[in-house]
Amino acid sequence: MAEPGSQSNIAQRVNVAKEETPYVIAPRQVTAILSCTLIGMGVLTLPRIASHWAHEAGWMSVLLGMFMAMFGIGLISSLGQRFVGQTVVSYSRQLLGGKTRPRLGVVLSFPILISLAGIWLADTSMITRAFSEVIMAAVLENTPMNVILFLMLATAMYLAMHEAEVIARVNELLFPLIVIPVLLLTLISFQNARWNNLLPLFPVDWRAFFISLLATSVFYKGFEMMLVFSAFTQPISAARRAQFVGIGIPALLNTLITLAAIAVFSYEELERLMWPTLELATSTEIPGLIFERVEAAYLAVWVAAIFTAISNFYFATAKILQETFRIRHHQWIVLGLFPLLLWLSNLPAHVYQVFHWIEILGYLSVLLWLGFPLILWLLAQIRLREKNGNRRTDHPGQ
Amino acid sequence: MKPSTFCHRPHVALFLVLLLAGMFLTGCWDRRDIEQRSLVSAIGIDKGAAGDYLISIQVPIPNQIAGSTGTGGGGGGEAYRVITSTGDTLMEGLNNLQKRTNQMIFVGHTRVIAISEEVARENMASIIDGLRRKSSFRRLLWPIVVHGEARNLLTFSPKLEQLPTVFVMDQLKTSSKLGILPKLSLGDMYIAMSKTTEEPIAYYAHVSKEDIQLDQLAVFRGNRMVGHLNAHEIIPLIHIRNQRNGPDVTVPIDPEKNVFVTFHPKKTKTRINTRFEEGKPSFQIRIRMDGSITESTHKEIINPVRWMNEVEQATAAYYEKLAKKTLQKLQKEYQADILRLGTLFRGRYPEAWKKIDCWQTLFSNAEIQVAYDVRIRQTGLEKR
Repeated sequence: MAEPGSQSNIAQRVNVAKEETPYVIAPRQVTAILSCTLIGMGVLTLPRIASHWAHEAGWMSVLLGMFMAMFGIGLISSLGQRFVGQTVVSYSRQLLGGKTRPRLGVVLSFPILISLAGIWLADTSMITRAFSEVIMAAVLENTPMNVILFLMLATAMYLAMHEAEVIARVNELLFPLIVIPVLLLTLISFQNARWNNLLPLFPVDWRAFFISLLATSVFYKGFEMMLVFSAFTQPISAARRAQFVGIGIPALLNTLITLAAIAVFSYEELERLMWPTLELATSTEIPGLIFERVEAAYLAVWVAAIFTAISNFYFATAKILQETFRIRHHQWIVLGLFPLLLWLSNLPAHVYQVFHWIEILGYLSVLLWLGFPLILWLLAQIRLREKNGNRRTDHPGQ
Repeated sequence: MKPSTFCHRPHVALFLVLLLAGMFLTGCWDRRDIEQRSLVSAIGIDKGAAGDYLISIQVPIPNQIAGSTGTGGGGGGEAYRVITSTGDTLMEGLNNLQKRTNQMIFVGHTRVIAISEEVARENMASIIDGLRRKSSFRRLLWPIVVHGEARNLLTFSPKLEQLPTVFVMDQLKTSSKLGILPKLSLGDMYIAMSKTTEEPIAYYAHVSKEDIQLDQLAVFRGNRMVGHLNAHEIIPLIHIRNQRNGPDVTVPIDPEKNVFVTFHPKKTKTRINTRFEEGKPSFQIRIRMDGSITESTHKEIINPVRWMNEVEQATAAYYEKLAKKTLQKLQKEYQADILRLGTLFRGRYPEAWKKIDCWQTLFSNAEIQVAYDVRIRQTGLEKR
C-alpha cells in the first residue's frame, strides 16, 4: 500500500532504488488500462471509417492496424523497462540532454512534452464531445450539450484527482464490465449477418488499402499513455507481455465489430450511418424477449468505456504537466484544466467538425507515437552502447 | 481508497460532493412519464389531394385496452384513435399532428408503417430520409405497402385483437416463422436501397373492413415501386433469396381427375453458381428440398415408392414452373434484382462488376436456370 504523498513527486527521485518507489500497477491492471482506453476510442464510428476506403475488406485493415500499435507499444515498453520508475518527462530529459548538459535536455524535451500534453488534452475534449453527440442524437434529445459535457468531465476529473493506483483499480474493475457485454453483443449481432456482404475478399487495390490502414490505426491511439503509466508499473516481464495483450484485446474486439457491421449492413449502407455500432445494436434482437432493446444496455456499457478513456487521458495529461513544472499535487492541474477542457469541447460547431478534428488529432498523434518514442529509443540504444563501450575499455580483459 | 492530503480539505470535498450530486440531474430535460406520451403504434402515409402527404397515426387508448372485455365494435372503435394530418413531408405531417394531440408524440413503439401504393410508386426517398434521421424510429419496423389507402390499415377491425397493429404484427411474425413470407424489416429496406447490387421489397397488403390479405410482396426499383408478386410467385423467391422453406404447395398431379398432393417442405438447401461469359452473367441455381406429404387425393392404390417418385418429380416440375414465372416477371417486366444475385455476382467477379454501369440491364439479360430436387421423407400416418 502506498503512503499518501509518496507518489506525487516521482520526478524528483530519478535514480531511486527499487524498494523505495512504489510500483502499484500490476500487469493485469496494465492490460485493463490499455483495453479500456482503446475500446472507448472509436468503437462507435470505426466500421464506417474502416470500410470507407477498403470496402468489404475493412475488417482486415482494422486487424492489420494492430501491428502498428504493437510496434509503438513495443518501443514504449522497452523504454519503460530501461528507465524503471520514471515517466517520460524524466527520461526524455536524460536522453536528450546527456549527463554533461542536463539543462539542454530540459529545453529540448519541453516542446515535445507540451505537445504531448496538448494532444492528450484535445483528445479528452474531443472524445467527450463525440460522446455527447451520440447521446444527444440517440438518447437524450432535449438535454443541453453542456450539461452532458460538464457531468462527464466532472466525473472524469474526480477520478483523475486520485493517484495512479486508484485509476488502475477502477480500470481493472470496469474492464470485464466493458469487454464482456461488447463481445456478447457483437457475437449476437452475427445472427443478421449475410456473409455475401464480405465478398470479394480483396476488393480494392493496395493504395486504397494502405490509406484505410492509416485511417484505422488512428483508432489505436491512446496507448502512448503508457509513457506516463509505465512509471508506476511493476518492472517485471509479465508487465511487458500485458501491454501487448492490452493492445490485442481491443484489436480483436474492433475487428469483430467491424466484421459484424460489414456483414450485417454492407459497406454501402455503412456510409450512410452516422454511428454504425449503435445501429448494429438497434437491429439486434435477442430471442425470448428478455431484453428487447439491446441498445440500452450497450449504451450504458459504452458510457463506462468512454469514462475510463477520458479519465486516463486526463490523468496522464495532468501527470506530465505536474512533472514538467514541478508542481506538488497534480490535483491542482486537474482542476485548472477543467474549464479549458470544457471550452475545447464546445469549440466544434457540429458533428462533422468533430469528426474532422478527431481525424486531424489522430494523424498528429500517430506522428507523435511513431516519431517520439522511436527517437528516444534510438537515443537510449546509442547511450547504452556508449556506456557498454566505456566499460569495455575499463576492463580490457573481458 | 486512501484520500490524499489534498482531498482532506473540507471545502474541496464539499465542492466535489456537490459536483457528484449534479450527476443525478442528468436526463431531467428528457424525462417524460408514460402518461404524458402519445404512443404511436402505426403510421400511415397517403397522398393528399394537393400533392402533399396525408400522415395518419394510430394512437392506442390504454384505459380501453386494459379494461374492456368485449369487442370494440366497428372501425375506429374504443381501443384506439386514428388522427390524420397533412404535410409536405413526413416530419411536417408529424409536427402538424402534434398540434392536434394533447401529449407529446412518441414514435418509439411504432411497429408498422403503412405506405399507400400511390406514394410508393411515386418516390419513397423523402419518407425514408425522415425515418432514418429520427432515432426513435426503429429499424425493426414492418414496412407494408397498401393497395389503396394506407389509412385503411390503421382503421380496419380484425376482431381478434383490439389493436389492428397488434394483429398485423402477429400475422407477419407468424408468416415469417412459417416461411409464407420472407422476414423483412425497415432496416432491410434501407440496406437494399443503399446497395447497388439488389433492390428492396416490402409487404403488399389488401385491406378491407374486417380483413387483411397479406401474402404478396411489392417490388421496388431504387426508391420506386414497380409492381408486386402474388402468393405463388413468392415461393421461389423465398427459396432463392432467403434460402428458407417457403409455404406448403398443393401440386396438381392430375387436375382432370382431381388428384392433388400437398407437399410440406422441411429442409431447403440452395446452391447458386455464377459464371460470367462474353459479357453476360449466368446463374445456375440448384435447390434441394426435403419434405413430407400432408395430403393426397388420389383414389387408386398404387405402388407407394413409385408413387412417391412420381410426386417428387411433379413437385419439382411445379416449383420450376413457378420459378420460371417469377423470373420472367422479375427479369423482363420489372428488371429488378430482388433475389440478391447481384451481391453474389459482385462477390465472385469484382473486376467485371467494376466495368458494368447498370446491373439491372445485365440482370434482365442474364441466363438463370433453376433446378429443383425434391425428396419426400415422410408421408404422415396413412400408409397408402
